[in-house]
Amino acid sequence: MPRALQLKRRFAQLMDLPPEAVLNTALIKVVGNLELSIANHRGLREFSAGAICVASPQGLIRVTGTGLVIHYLSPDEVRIGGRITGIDLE
Amino acid sequence: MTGALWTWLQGYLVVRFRGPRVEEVLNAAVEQGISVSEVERLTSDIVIARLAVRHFRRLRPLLREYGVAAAIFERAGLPFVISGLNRRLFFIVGLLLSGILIAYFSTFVWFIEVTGSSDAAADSILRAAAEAGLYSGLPKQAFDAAALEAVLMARFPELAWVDVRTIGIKAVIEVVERQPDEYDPNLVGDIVARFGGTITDVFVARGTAQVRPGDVVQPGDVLISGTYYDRWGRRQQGRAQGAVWARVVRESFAEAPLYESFQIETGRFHRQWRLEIGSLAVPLGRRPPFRAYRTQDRIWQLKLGPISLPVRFRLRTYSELDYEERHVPRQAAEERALEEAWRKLEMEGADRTKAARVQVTTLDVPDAAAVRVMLSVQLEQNIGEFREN
Repeated sequence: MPRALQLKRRFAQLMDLPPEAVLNTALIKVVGNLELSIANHRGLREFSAGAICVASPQGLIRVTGTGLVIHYLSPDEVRIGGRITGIDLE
Repeated sequence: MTGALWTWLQGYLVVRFRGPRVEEVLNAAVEQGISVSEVERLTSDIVIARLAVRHFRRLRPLLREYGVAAAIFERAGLPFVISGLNRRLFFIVGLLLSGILIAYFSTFVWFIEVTGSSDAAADSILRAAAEAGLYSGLPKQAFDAAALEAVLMARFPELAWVDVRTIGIKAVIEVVERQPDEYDPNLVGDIVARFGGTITDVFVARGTAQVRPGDVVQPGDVLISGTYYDRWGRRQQGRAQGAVWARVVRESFAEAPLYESFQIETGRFHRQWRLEIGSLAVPLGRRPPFRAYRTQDRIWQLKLGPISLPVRFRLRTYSELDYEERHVPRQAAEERALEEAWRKLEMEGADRTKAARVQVTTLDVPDAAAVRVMLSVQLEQNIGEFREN
């Protein structure tokens, strides 16, 4: 891990700040296998009913499942619904 | 939920995107601050998504840039609902007007129903209620149920209880009629003989016995007087209570015909169409050529959707009837007449099982082709009945 990133991480821990805000990383929240939201995303890369691929500062986040739908897409957040069976961080 | 409601209030479009680079269009739109929701891929090159109405125009340059076609698939939300209503202004006004009229007319009493009484009494009660101010078309605000109950109770002493209430546009007058033998302790009177006979037993619950076993009484004689003396020796007037049994001879008679008339269908029938407009009926065909007949109707009601029009067709089938006389065996007629004679006695309190001596005389009634049975029974029964002073 680069030194600057390590410093930022320590600073966030020390000041009790949300790491995704300080480190500029994606924040992924999963509600069971029904819904998944990704904050700090960098846009859609691939979209189908079986897989949705979202870009993030750290790489691609691939969500697989059946009947996948993007419930909400804004510059800050993408919220995915359907039956989620897998999440891959590439 | 709030977000969905806000979206609906603002109005949104369901847009169908067609092309290979839909993801890029969506990303570019999002970068420009256009939020999209409910994005769903239908086929490999068709995606549908919802977006706010005001954002659709901003999407056009992006669509051109990425070579994606977009078409509005559906318009939804409050602005479109209002716009739709504007196009059906008269319908909405009519709907509102109907609602207001229904609400207004539901503040009146339109139907009045009497429950719990015989038909004849119900008519009298309805007339009395109308005189007291309850009529069809009365505003419910002017309807005083308690006052009407008081009026009806005062007007009809035979009523034991009255309840008046409104159910929607209907006023219901529920009454309970006083039973003839209902005990009313406020009445003052004696127990008198219903029939003449020889007293066999006297039981006094209240009052003073006027007869003893062995006495012979005539109808109307006082058996138990309502006058009695209380424990302080004061003379009191009250309601006599008790039972007085006597050996009585009761007589009854009944007749039964020796011929009975039966109705039979001959098998001939006649059909006639009738056109009915409101209460006016126009026969479309000749009348039935029968002296006696039975009718059966089939009705075709004209309707306009759910509304029944006041026009209908009626197919009336007349079936010819004839009457046939059949002989009734004499023994069967006698049994029937005897049973009827007993029934008359039992209606006056006689108990068939307590009859000590029964005498049956049978006579012919030649003019009427019937038999008459005279029944004379000696039995013991309670002959007392209350008579108000």
